[in-house]
Order: sequence, then C-alpha cells, then structure tokens
Amino acid sequence: MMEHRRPMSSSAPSSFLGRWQSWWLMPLIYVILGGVILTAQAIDGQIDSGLVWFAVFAAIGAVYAFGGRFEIVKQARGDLEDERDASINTRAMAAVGLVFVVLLTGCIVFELARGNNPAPYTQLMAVGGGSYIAALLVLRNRS
Amino acid sequence: MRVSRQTINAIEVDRYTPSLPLAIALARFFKVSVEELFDDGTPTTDVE
Repeated sequence: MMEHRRPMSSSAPSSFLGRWQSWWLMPLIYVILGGVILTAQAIDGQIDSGLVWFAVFAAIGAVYAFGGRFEIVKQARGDLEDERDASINTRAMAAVGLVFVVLLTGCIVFELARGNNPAPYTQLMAVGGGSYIAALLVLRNRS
Repeated sequence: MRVSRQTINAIEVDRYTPSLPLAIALARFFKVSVEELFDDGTPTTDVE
C-alpha cells in the first residue's frame, strides 16, 4: 500500500521555523546589502549616492517584511504554500537565468563590436555555465 | 492537505496538473478514485 505523503514540494517551508525565517531573512539581507553599498560609497566619498541606494534596498526590505498580504510578495520571499507555488518559483528562477544569459551575451557582443575586452562579462558567463553543468551533475546524481 | 485555494482553482480549470501524491490525496478526500476525479472523457483503449 502506498504511503500517504504530504503533497508539498520539498522546497516549501513546512516548519514554523521555516516560515519565520522567510519573514525576516529577506528584509535583513536587503538591509545588509544596502549597508554594504552605503559603506562602499561612503569610502569612495559618495555618501549621498550611498544613502539613496540604502533607502532603495531598505524600501525593498520593507516590502518583503510588510507586504505579506499580497500573493506575489509572499511568493517572492519564499512563503510557499504548496507544490504549485514551488513549481512557479522554480520556473521563475529558470527565467532569471535565461534573462541573464541573453543579457550577458548581448554585453559580450557589444564590447567585441566596439573592439573592447568583453571581460568581466565573459567570466560571468563562464561562472554561469559552470554552475549549470555542476547543478545538472548534482541533480542527476540525486534523482 | 496544505493546498491553496488558487491551486485548486488552477486544477479545476486545467491550468495546473497536480503531482501524484496531491492527486491521490484529493481523490481520498472526495472518496473517489483518481481516475474518476481526473477523468477527461478520453475513451480508454483495451491493451491486447
């Protein structure tokens, strides 16, 4: 007899701790990123620009923290309710990868057309390609 | 069952195909077989 399993993706936070982490973790990450950029810009003497970036990142963090009533925010911060949400999240991440591949390809072609060195776009593309192959190997080995 | 209302709506309008565990859980909830719950009317052919 088949064992009854919960119909949820393994990537969905099923524990209370998992849901609590998703509430504050993303806002904290954005505030830290904003602080890092502010610090870097302050070192360079561009405090005004750094404050603007910090405000932008803090605003994004606030949306993550307090925008939970909107389904798209809940999905973006990982409050996955079920397998369909997990599937949508996975496909959205794949779309991000595709966009970056197209964008980097365009940047490489643009720099080459101008007679410039396409670095660091080529290195970024190499990291992306290597990560994809590594992910394929790991996931094929697991399943 | 931990399935959102939006997912149930998507299943009902054929925008989403549930996984096997979810399909079985839904069938058990409604006390019918999986085939009865997800029958699309396609006639089955006998395998000879």
